[in-house]
Amino acid sequence: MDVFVSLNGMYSRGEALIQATRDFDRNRITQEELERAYETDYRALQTLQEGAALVSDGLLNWQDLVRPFAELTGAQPGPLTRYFETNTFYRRLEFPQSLIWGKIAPWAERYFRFGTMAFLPSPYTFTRMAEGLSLEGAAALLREVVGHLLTRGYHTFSFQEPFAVYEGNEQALRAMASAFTALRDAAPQARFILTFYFGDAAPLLPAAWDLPVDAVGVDLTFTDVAQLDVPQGRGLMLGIVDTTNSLLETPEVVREALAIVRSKNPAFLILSGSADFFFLPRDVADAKYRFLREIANR
Amino acid sequence: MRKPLLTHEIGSLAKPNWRVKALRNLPLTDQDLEEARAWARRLDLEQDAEELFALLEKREGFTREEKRTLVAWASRFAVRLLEKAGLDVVYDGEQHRVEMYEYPIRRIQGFEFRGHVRSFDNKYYRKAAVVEKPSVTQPYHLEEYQTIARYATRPVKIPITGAYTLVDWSFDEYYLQRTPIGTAEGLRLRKEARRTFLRDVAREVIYPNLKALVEAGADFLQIDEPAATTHPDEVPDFVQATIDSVGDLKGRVTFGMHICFSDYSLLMPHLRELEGVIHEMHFEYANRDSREPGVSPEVRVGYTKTLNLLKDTRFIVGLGVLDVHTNFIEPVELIRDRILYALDVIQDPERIYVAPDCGLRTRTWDVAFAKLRNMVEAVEQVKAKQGL
Repeated sequence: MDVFVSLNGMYSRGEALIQATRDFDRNRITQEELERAYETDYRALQTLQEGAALVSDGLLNWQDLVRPFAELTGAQPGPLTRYFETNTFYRRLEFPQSLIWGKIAPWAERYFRFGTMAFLPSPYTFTRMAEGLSLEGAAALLREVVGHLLTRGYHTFSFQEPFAVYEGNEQALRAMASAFTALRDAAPQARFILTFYFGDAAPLLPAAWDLPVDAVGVDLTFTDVAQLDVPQGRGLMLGIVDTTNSLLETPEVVREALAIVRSKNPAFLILSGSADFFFLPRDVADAKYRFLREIANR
Repeated sequence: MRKPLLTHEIGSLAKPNWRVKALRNLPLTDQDLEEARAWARRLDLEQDAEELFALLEKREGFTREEKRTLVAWASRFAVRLLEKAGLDVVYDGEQHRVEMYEYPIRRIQGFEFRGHVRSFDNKYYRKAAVVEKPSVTQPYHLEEYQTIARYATRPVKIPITGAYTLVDWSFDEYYLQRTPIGTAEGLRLRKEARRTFLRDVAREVIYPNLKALVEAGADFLQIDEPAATTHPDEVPDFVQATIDSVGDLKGRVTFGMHICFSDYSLLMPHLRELEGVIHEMHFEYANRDSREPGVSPEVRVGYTKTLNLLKDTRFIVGLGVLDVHTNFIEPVELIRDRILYALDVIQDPERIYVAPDCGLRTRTWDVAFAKLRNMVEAVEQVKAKQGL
C-alpha cells in the first residue's frame, strides 16, 4: 500500500509573515516587501515538504477557503461568519445573478504558487459559504480551475467538505453527484479526494463512495476508524494529527488507529492533519507535519 | 442590586494614547499631553491631575513604577468618564488589562503561549496551551478592584473572563496527553479531558478570583463568556463550569454574565440552571436591531427573539441598547423605545439593567461618552414616563 503525507487546506503563516501582513495593513511596508515575506515563507514550506509526492503551497495568501474566488468572479465578500466551532471567521461571498469569471491563469498564478496537490472548496461547501451560487455553478467554476491546474502539473485534488459532515447531511452528498461527474470528466486521470473535517465521517461514507472520488478524507478527532468501510480500490486521507490542538502526537497515540486502518486494506493512504493546519502556530504545525513524515516512513 | 433600569457598561473602553504609548515605550507627543489635559478638564480632574501632567512631561523612558502610576490615572479618568455619563455602576474600561484573554492567561499558572494563530484575514491572536493543572497564587483582578474602589463614587462592577472562554481559546497539552486518536475510547477520553480542564479552571482559577473580590468588598461581578455557544453540544458543560466558578459565593453578591454576538437560543434550556446563580444575563441586541424609533416587534427586530427566551426566567435582563461597532450616536428616542419595548415584554423594570451591547473599546472616548449620555437620558425619560 502506498503511504503519502500531505498538508490539509490552509497552512499556518510563519511569525515573520504574520508580522509582515500586519505591517502592510498599517502601511508600514510596501507591497513588494510583503511579497518578499510571502516568498520566504513559501520557500520554507517547500523545504518542509522536500521529497514528498504531495506538495502544496499551503494557501498562505488565501484569506479563507472561498475568498480568492471573489477576485475571480466579482462576488462580494459579506459579513464575518464563524468558521464552524472555532475561534476563526470567514466572509460569505455574495455572487451576482449571473456567474461569470475572468481569466483563470493569472488568478491561479497568484493563488496556486506551486505544488502537486490542490485544495479547493467542495461544491456543497462552496454553496454554503456563498449566497447565490448553485451546485452546478460551483462545479462549472471548479472544473475550469482543475482543468488549468492539470496543465501545471497538479495531479491530486482535495475537495474540502466540512459542511456536509458537520451537518450530517447525506443528502448533500447525493446532490453533488452530477457536480462531481462534471469535475471527473474534466480530469479523468487526476486523484480526487473528498475531504471531511469537523464531524464524524463514518455515517456519510456510503454516500461518499458513490461519488467518483478516489479517496475520502476523515477527521480522526471526530471519527472512530473502526466504523469506516473502504471499498476495494479506494484510498483514505487520514486526519491523524489534531490540527486544532498544539499537543504533539506520539507514535503511541496513533498506533491503534493506523493498525485498524491498515487492516481495511485501502488502496492508498494519505496521512494528514485533522483539518486545516492554520489553527496552529507555525512551529507547531511544522512539528506535526514532520511527525507525519516520520510515521509514514516506518 | 435591585434598582429599576440600573445602568452600567460592559467592560472595555479605549485606552488613552498617553497610556498606550508610555507602556509601549513610545515617545509622547504634544497632542498626547493635550489629550490628557482636555479630558481632565472635561472630567473635572484638572486640579487633581497635576501629578499626571508633570509625569507625562517626561515624554518617554517611564520606569515600571511610573507606568503603574499612569495606568492608575487612566483608570481614574475612565471611571470618572462613566460617572460623568451618569451610569449607576462603573468600572475602568480595562485600563489595567491588555485584553480579556492574554491578561488573565499570563497570570494563571499552568499555561504557556505557543504563538500566533489566525482569527480572520490578517488578524491574529496569541494562543496559549495548558501544560499543567491551572492554578492562581495571586488573584489577578484584586489590585484593579482596590484601585478603582478608592476613587469611584458609585458602585463598582468587575468583569472577569469566564472558565469556558479561557478553555475554549486555549490549546490542551495536559489533559489530552496520551489520548489515542481515531478510536472510540479516544473520542470518549477527549470529552472527559475537556470537562476536567473546564472544571479545574472554574474551581482553581475563576472561583479563587471571585472569592478574593467578594472578600475585598466587590458586590457586582460580571463573568464574560463570549465563547459560550461556540460548541453547542458543550452548553451543559459551560453551565456546570459557571456553577463551579461561583460555588458557595452564590447569593452573596450580584453576579452578571455577558455573552455577545451569538445564537442565544443554543443556550436554552440549559441556561436556566443558572437561575439563582447568575442574576443578570446580558446579551447584545442593538447590533441586530433597526434604527427606527418605535415600540412594535416589527421595528424592534433585534430584541423580540432574545427577550422571549428570557422573559419567563428569573434572570435580570441585561439589555444591550448601544451598538458598539458604529460611531452612530443612538438618539435618546431610539434608546428609550428599545427600553420601553423590553419593558413591555419583561413587565418588570427591576428585571432590566440597561447597558451597551458590549465593551466600547473600539470607539473613541468622545463617541463612547455621547452614546452613554444618551443611554442614561433615555433611562431617565422611561422612568419619568413609567412613574418609576
